[in-house]
Amino acid sequence: MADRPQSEAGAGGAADGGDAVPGVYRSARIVTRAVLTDLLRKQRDSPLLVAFLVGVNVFLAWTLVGLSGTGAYDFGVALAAGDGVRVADRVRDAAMGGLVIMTVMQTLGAASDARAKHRRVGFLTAAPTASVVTALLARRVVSSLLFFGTGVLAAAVAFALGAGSPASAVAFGLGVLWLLVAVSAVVFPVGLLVNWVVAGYGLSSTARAGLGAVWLGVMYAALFGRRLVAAALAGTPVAWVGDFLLATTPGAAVSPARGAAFALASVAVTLVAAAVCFRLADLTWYSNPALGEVDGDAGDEDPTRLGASLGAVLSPRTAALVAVTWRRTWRTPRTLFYVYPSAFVGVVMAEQLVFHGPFSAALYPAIAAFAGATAAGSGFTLNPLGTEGDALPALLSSGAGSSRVVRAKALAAALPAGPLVVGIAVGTGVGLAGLPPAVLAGAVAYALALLALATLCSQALGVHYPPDHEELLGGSVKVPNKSASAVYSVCLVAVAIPGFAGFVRYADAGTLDAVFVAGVGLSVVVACALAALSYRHATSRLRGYSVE
Amino acid sequence: MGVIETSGLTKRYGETTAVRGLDLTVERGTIYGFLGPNGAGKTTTMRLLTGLTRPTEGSATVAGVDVRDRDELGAHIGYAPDTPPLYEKLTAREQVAAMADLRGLDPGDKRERIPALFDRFELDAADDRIESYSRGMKQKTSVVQAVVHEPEVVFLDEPTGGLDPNAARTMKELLVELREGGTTVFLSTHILPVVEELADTVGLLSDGRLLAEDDPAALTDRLAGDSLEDAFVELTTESVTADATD
Repeated sequence: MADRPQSEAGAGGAADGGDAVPGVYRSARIVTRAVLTDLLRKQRDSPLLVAFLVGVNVFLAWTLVGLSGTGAYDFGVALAAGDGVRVADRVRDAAMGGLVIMTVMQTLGAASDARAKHRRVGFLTAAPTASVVTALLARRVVSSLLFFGTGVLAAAVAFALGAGSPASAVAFGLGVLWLLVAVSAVVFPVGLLVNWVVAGYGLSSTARAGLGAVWLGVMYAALFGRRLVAAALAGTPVAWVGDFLLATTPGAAVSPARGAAFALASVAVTLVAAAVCFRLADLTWYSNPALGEVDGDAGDEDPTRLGASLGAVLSPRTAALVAVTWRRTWRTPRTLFYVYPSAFVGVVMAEQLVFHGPFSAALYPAIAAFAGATAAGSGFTLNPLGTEGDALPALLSSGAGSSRVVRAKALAAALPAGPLVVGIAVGTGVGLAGLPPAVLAGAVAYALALLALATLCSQALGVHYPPDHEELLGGSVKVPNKSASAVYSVCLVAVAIPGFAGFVRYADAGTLDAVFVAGVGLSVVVACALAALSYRHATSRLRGYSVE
Repeated sequence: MGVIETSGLTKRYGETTAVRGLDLTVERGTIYGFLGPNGAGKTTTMRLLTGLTRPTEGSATVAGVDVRDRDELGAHIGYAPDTPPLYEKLTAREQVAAMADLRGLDPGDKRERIPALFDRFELDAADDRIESYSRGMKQKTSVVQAVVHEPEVVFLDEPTGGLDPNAARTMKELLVELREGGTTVFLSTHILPVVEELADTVGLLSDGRLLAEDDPAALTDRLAGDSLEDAFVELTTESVTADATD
């Protein structure tokens, strides 16, 4: 499998006592410096990213310190009041829950790091594999610290202040920071393995999309089931994390021996994980499929049959455009990258508002309509120019016509999404809520109007952003502009709110009244009107678009 | 009246002027060699003439269609830019078929022409995805896509780039055939012997201005050089010197 195991040169050099080891260390330093400089500059140069990081850190610090509920400061105060056993238990539980979340998030991050390949390829011709692995590991650790470091330190300081003991902050603060490092290292091999499975075995595009959905499901389950997972681990040495974090806290009911054992074990596991990373990198990076993308067989469908089927209901040119969009999307599911979060929001809404929430199942159709429509417009229609990649000049100079291009893209999204969204809305409405026909008709109208708005409004916004201003998702496919995504989401939410309020009223009261009719009616009318305006705007903008 | 006519065609990007008052007439059924140093404005001119970029000033028609009317223009032209405009996830056959459909090519003609062009360029991997292609294979696909609907005018930007000698020869033969069939070829390339061999007229662009226009032999004679390359170097050097003096 490993055609070119470079790191073995370094390892061999170490065994031979030659000059290779200093070379590996030096090159690791150089590559790490370059990778981290790149990371930090990218973050610093993006005001949006800086704002996001600051927001995450402020939110975490706010929550962990306990400014909006029970937090580290309260634990410290309880400790000072002599409640050492309870505090130790609470810190242990919180640490276990945090560990579960960190592990899941880091695994997801490591597994889905599509750009890791591009980052490493440039270095692999000049540096041993181990150096590049070290640099990527350092990159992941620094990313974690940027996201969570400030919040963790603030919590440590608050705990020490509450406890009236500065020493408590030492193990608490440094301990959590070390856990961030350890978790980053421990899950990195998982990321390599997942990428190996995805790229190395040439999974089909459908399987890759399915894998992404499975990961989101795992993350969702972990977020809501973290206490269950922590409880299951309570009897294992992993639970000694509480003893580790409170090791320098006077009066806490913890075992220093267990704390020390956890620290040593975490160091050992981290070193083993790093060694596994080096080996896995050798195994996966130099196999042909990993460096050269593998996709399913090109002949996995009959192009003429697809075009002919569409041609039965659409004009030949529109059918050709829709067929091309479908074929490319089927083979490049990352074009749908932004669809998953919107769908995920729908699942969370269903869980929070209905399954564990206050409303009846009558709200499911509205959730399906809103989340499904938002998801449908979050893929290629939100980035109508960027998803064309290098082929954009050919499309624009083909004489296809801007109105046809806009229509075809909307249809390409709506034809598969429409039956799915309406099906889920009707299915949940009939199967779970037993909705009367009038409410069901309202749900269908609401879903269809939002779908039309989503697929056209996304294009009307997306055409304002040139295709080269966002980073690559892979190949020449580019992600939608963040501003376009934000405005699109706000627009969908604003239009959907009246109708949603109508369904909330029905789900709450169980009777069809004027609020329902007015709310749904308003959303449907506004959505249709905005969809028509969006179509005109997108068409006009595309007609005047210049390839610069 | 030429099949390509421009008058005072100008394109500015902020403070930078890429094309300055270009007056050009290209006769139907000819090969027009469009030369110039890097950054001279050749690609911008091609984008203007194919409707991909709007002129800041001046006017241009191609096949009698105003270049501002991109949708109408598309039926009359083919364009192969320097970066092959292809969908990486499609096969060459799917790509060319889709573009032929968009141009409204008759299904019968499509079935006949596409395999013939692929055979001609020996594109055996027409059913493999374009992402697996070499630069030369992409270039061939791009050119096939540009000519499959037999347009009145074909714009080719560095069409022989990345091609092996056999494919380059096929490309030159195709250009001659296109001309003989009445198609106008607007050819931009840095490979001067190709222009010298094929072009009926050569236009030399520098800093957005048309410095000279003539048939290759006359241009070479006029500047007392041994080849088109000598003429190119002399004219562009003069232009740079004059700009520096200004």
